[in-house]
Amino acid sequence: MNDPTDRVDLESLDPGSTDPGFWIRFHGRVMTQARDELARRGLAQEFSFPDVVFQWRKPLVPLALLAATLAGIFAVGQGEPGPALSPVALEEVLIQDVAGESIPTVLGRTAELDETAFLTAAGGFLP
Amino acid sequence: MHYRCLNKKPLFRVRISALRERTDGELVRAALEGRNQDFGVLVTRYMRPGYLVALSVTGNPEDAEDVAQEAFLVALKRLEDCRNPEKFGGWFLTIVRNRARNLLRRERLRRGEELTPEISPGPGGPAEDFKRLEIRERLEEGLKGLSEVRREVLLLHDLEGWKHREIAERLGIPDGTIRSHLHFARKHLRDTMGAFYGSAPVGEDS
Repeated sequence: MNDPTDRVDLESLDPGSTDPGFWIRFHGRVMTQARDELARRGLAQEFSFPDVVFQWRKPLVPLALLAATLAGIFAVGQGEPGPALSPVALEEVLIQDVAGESIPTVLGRTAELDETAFLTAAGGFLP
Repeated sequence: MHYRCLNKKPLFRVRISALRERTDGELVRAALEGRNQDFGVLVTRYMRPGYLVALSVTGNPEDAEDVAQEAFLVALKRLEDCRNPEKFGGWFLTIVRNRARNLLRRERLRRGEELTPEISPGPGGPAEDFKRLEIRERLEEGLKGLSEVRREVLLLHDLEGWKHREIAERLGIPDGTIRSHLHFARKHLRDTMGAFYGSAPVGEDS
């Protein structure tokens, strides 16, 4: 039915046949006019609705960490004071479980007491 | 999709999508995201068919150019309305056709800034240029004697090189009807062209 030899040469209807730059200019012009719309679409894609809604999540994590750290520091600073610590003499520690007198008392009896005498007096040394 | 060569060594990566022709659907989805380059491919793919469809409605090259150009912008703005992006071609040509009909109806004045095709001097000299111009005018006259759909079919097939199947898909007309339109359109044009008749040595498609 469609014999190709019946075909009429329509080439002259193509503007590009007489003006080689026609289609390039046409394309350029369309793209120039489409630029704003494409930019708008690109922007809308970048900031989609879910992005905007969940945007807060990104800065929230470091902020939460910082807040937790500060809160921790604050809580420690404001907390109830623990049991008061009083200075303890070394000698007192040494005889803590030793029944009887304290070192100064023992030592105070006689200046001639040596370590052995002291321990004997304190009841903790049996030679 | 990326293809990594030489097992895991990333010596080079080839973008597979760049190696094959991208479908209309892929291009439309990319254009929806505002990707210039992909929209540019759509424009390249459909600027000539768009122009030819507009020409078949208006019968005027300048109007056809305006209509086709505007149709791309309208299509871009309404891209969400293209329900089947794989069939962008048919959808776009419908926009072109409607706008061309509206233009005819309103008979609005054409803008002075349009891209009027220039007749650049051909190698044959002024005599050849004159003959070419005369052929074009005769062709335009001949096309006016055809129905709009026959003009479209004729131009898309014989000038743009679309196959029957492609025209059928994009115009939403059965393949057999396309063949029939083409046959009668060619016959009419041959009869009206008279002395300017010429045939193109091209093969028939499926």
